[in-house]
Amino acid sequence: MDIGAIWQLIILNPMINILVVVSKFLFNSPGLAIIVFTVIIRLAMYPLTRKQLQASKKMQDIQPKIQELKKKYGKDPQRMAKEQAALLKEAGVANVGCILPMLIQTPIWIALYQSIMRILATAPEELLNLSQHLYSSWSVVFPAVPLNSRFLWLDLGAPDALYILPILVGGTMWLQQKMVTPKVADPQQQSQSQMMLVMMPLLFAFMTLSFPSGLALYWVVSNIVGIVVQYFVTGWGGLADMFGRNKADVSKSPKPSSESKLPPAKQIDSTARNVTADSQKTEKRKPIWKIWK
Amino acid sequence: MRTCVGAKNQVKIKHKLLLTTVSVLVLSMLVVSGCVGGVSSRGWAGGIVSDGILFAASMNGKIIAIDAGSGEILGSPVQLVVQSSGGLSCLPSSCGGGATTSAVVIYSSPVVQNNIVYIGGSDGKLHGYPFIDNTLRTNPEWLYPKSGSLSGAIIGNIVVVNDSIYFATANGNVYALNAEDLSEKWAQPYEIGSKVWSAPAVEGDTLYVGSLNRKLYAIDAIAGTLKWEYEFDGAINSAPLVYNGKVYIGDFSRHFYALDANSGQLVWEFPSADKSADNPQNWFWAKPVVLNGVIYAPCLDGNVYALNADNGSLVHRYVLGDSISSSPVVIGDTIAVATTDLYKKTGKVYIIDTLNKTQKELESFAEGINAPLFAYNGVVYVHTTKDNLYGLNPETHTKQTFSLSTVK
Repeated sequence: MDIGAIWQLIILNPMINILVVVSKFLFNSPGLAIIVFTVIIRLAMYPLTRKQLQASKKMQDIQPKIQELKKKYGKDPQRMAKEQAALLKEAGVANVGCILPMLIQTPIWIALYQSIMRILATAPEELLNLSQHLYSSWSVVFPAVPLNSRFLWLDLGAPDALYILPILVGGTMWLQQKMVTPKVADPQQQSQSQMMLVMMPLLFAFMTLSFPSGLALYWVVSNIVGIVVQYFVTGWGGLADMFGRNKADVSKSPKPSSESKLPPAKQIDSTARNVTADSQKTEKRKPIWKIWK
Repeated sequence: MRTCVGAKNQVKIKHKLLLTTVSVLVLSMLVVSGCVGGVSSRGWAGGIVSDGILFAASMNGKIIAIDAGSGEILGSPVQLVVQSSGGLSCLPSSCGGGATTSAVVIYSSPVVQNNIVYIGGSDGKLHGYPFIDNTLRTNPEWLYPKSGSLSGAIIGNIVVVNDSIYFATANGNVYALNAEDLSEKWAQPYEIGSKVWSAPAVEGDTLYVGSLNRKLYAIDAIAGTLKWEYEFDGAINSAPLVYNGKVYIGDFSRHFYALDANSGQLVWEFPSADKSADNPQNWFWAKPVVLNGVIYAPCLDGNVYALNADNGSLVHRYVLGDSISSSPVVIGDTIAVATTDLYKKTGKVYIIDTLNKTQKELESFAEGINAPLFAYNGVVYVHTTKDNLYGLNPETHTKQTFSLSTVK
């Protein structure tokens, strides 16, 4: 059995069949099924997402210290790596902390994406292929297909003719990105992150112009759930500055959890991160990590 | 000062790198997300042999005439094209896609009437080309509609009966035209309002057509008005078979039915019991055939169900293994059936001996078979998913091969 067959057997086929059944019981509406299923999957992934977000936040928090290390040991890569490893260890940040949850989640998102594309089956070839993914023992799935592609003003198998979804996809993605984009002192990094902040939502909005609405609906719901989860895990993040809620954000910042190995200095770091709006100010300040040391 | 300029250059280089990264990311995402990946519509037209000339439609929108006896390509193929967004086809033309022409995707098999070859395209047009002096002519071209296109693609086969052409469009309109001049026979098309991907069947003055909305419609072929309709549990993609006063059809609920052709009353249903080892395990997709009072219903579960036409009892189940999406063809007392492994994209052609209730593999291919089979002079013609047309002779075990896409 090759990897493709295993992928279908373990991940893709269960998702497709569940989506069809959910759709059947939600008033024969694949639109509702996509919404409900996306929310369920995102909530099921919450522990992983939270770990990822927390790890990312810790990484952001120690960025000033890493910058300091770079300044100090930039010309000695070995020493730099050693010091950085020590810093990460001390802060309780595992290198795989950000990547591992993302690696586990990625196949699930790909499968969800593929499932949605397959159940919408807009061409005869796609419908024919869908027949091979259905469970013969689930009598409900065979008569349920093809699914009714109408949902609100949308034909889920075709792009949104009113261009509402592209705006929603771009808007929600920008919000989510804005929340996670760290405020960095380095103007070069700042300009790069600003470019990414704009480019990705624009790219997805542009793609939505020609993609099936069902897929765009999934992106919108996924982004909205992501924003909510993000808020509860790390607060408003980059959005706080926009609305002048720095203080609120600081007070909203999660208290160090008992499982966190981050030393008490973390609180100081969080504050420091908010104060680093002006890089020059930061440079004039005595490095926080030195105080902590 | 030098340091400052150097730093600026460095920033510029980094910006360029970033832009390159973003561009690569954009392209990768377009590819990964299905712009050029995924299952694309390629079509699966069958063919027809008329007066020894074989007409077939390729997957790149060509209609080709071949001498069935010698295998010689006759004249130049006719290329069907449609205005569409260009380059990356998923990009809207308003956003850089750019309008251009592309080949028409063809699912509908060609038909011939009075030396005119008719074919329906996914461009929402019925095309007709005269075949004169062994050459397909593009002038004059019969077209319906004469300008613009219908609001839906023509996916199912078109049917020619008594100088009339019948077909349905994917958006659920059924049309009847006079073959002579492609004028409309009905005051207006019959509007089903749901997807129709299958061919109609015409018997006497009634047209039968199934829809993905789970209904079978009987329409007056002369007036274009509804006679009756019947709703099944599952969607219908198969063309109906009309035989001995009954309409035979299978659906997506994995059942096969016989209805009274006049009244639309259910006569029998297979399987009658819900739990049996012989029950179909997938959709009925391809059109059934009839031979000696037995209906042969191909199923995507890899079986051909031989059913008594009168009472629906199971006469025999031919286990072929892979999905049967291509309509079989009757040759004497045998039936040629094609199967496809939809995952591996491989195909096989079997010959079913209906007298001895046996089957044997005729040929296997490293390509799938979705197009309906057709036969002439004992030769079975198979149009594969790699756009090859094979002529297989079960008696002599000879094979003709035509690569349709490369015909010039």
